[in-house]
Amino acid sequence: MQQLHDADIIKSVLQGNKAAYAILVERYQSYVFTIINRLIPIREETEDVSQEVFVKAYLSLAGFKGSSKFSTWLYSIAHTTAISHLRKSRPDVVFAEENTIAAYTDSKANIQHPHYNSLRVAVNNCIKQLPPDDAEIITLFYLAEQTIEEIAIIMQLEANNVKVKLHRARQKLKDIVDRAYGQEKELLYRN
Amino acid sequence: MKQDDKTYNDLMKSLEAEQPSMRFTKNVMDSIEGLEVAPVRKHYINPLVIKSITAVLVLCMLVSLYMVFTSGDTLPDYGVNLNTTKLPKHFSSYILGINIVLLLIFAERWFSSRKRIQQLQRPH
Repeated sequence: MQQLHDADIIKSVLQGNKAAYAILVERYQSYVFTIINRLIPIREETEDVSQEVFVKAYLSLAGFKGSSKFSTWLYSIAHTTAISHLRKSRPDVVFAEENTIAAYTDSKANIQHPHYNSLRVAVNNCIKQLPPDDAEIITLFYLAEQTIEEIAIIMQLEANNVKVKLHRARQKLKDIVDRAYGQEKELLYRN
Repeated sequence: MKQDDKTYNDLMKSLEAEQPSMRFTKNVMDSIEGLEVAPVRKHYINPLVIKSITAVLVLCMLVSLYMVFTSGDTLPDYGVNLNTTKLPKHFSSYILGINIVLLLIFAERWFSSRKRIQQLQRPH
């Protein structure tokens, strides 16, 4: 069956077919959930915030002009909702310094070392060790397949700034993968 | 090194999304049960307010310019002795240069943001 375009579904929802919104929820729930989970690592909270994102998106669906992809618009709602949730629930949270992260990464790498049960788990473990904003940018680029310009809109940054941040995040992730799996990362593909 | 990069890129391609609970879609649909899509508000601020503020600002500028150009008197002496000899020789040229550079930076930012918006508006 041919997949319905987002624009057609949105049109249908706006014409009163509320049930059609479930297709959009099904289509994007895992991406929204993952993006939020990078910022809010507690699963229950992630689920609540993801739900809030879809409700917000539904309420302001008429305001979606189609000037960007629906996914970009939805992920920007996800980003702002997650950030405001963090500000409300943990006003004293500050992002760790890089040295602290490196030390933390070392300790985690030692604990989680070799007997990963799948490639997905292995990569996800490494991403979870990144600082939240780096994990988010990696997720948006590789998983949600957003362009640099679209990530700039979602994260409210300049495109050049996104490029630099993405490069650094990639480098950090590479270091984490090397530290955690070293030579064995070749073997990940054979599992 | 190349092999290492390839390995890393392959690793990134294997990324998979986390899954919410099985009831997620149903929970969302239950949450929007009694809700309706909010109508679009064309302007968050009444356009009349924006126009009024613009009109006042433009009027102030025009009045100021009129006063500057019609006044034949030199500036009154307020008793402030500015020692302009200590300023660099082409001080006003430097200020003008800085302003031009700032103007170019703002113009570049404006054009790049327009370009970005146009790129995003292309059909996908």
